[in-house]
Amino acid sequence: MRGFVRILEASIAAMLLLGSLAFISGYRSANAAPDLDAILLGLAADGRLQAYAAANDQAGLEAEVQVPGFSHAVQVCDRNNCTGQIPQARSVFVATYLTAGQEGYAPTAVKLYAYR
Amino acid sequence: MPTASKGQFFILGALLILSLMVIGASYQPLTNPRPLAAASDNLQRELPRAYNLGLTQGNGPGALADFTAFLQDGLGSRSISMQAAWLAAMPGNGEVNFVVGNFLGKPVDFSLNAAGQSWSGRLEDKATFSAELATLADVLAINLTVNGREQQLEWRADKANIYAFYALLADQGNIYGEVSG
Repeated sequence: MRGFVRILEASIAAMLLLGSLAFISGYRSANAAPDLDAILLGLAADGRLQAYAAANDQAGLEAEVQVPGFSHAVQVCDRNNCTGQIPQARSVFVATYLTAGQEGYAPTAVKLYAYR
Repeated sequence: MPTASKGQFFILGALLILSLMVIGASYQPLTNPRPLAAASDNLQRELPRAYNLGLTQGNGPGALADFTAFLQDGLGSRSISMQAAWLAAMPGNGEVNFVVGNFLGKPVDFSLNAAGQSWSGRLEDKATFSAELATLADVLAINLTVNGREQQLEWRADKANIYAFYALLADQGNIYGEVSG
């Protein structure tokens, strides 16, 4: 009987340990930061990001972007002003791409925010 | 204490340790996975574009210098320090115009040798140096030395060219690179 109790205690301890490790792993994966830089670089690679930025088309760029698992917002900023709002949320991730322009030289910063 | 009751204390201890692990995991900062690499990709793509766009408006070196400063400000706001120096060339009528730019954060000694003609001096931070080379050659052998760093280039005299080297410095590490275009 005593041995059975010890086996039961060890089994409970092992299940607690494995369950907690699985929970921690799942928690980290679900809350991992999105790779916003990759999204911006992908848009810049074929010129779409630069075109939106040059046209100050913040809404169009925001509609173009997809960040799975997150809400997102876009700001297009020249040296003096920004179009678009910074989201108010508990956890906000941000990435920035600095573009030289499209048809002419016009430096612009494009900021992509992801939040829950 | 009876031997049979010791197991409960081990379980309680395990629960306490696991609770601390879960609490610790929830407070780990979730940082951007690749800020420096992304900044380097951004710079590689946009620095030559700035020069080319400036050339279409008649001021390639001006746009290049302005955009270099823009990059430094933009990256600086993300705690990334950018240092760069570059050489730009523009074809003219029987001549080539060179511009050396220093954005390394300190004054530097430089020398430029193109087709046997040389220029050298000291260049302040965020300053540029311009020189003209009268030539009818198709290809130019160029030697650029900035702060002891030497780079040899071979450029066609009838097209615009740019060469830059840079460093991106941040707490999570450094990236060094070059841009040609």
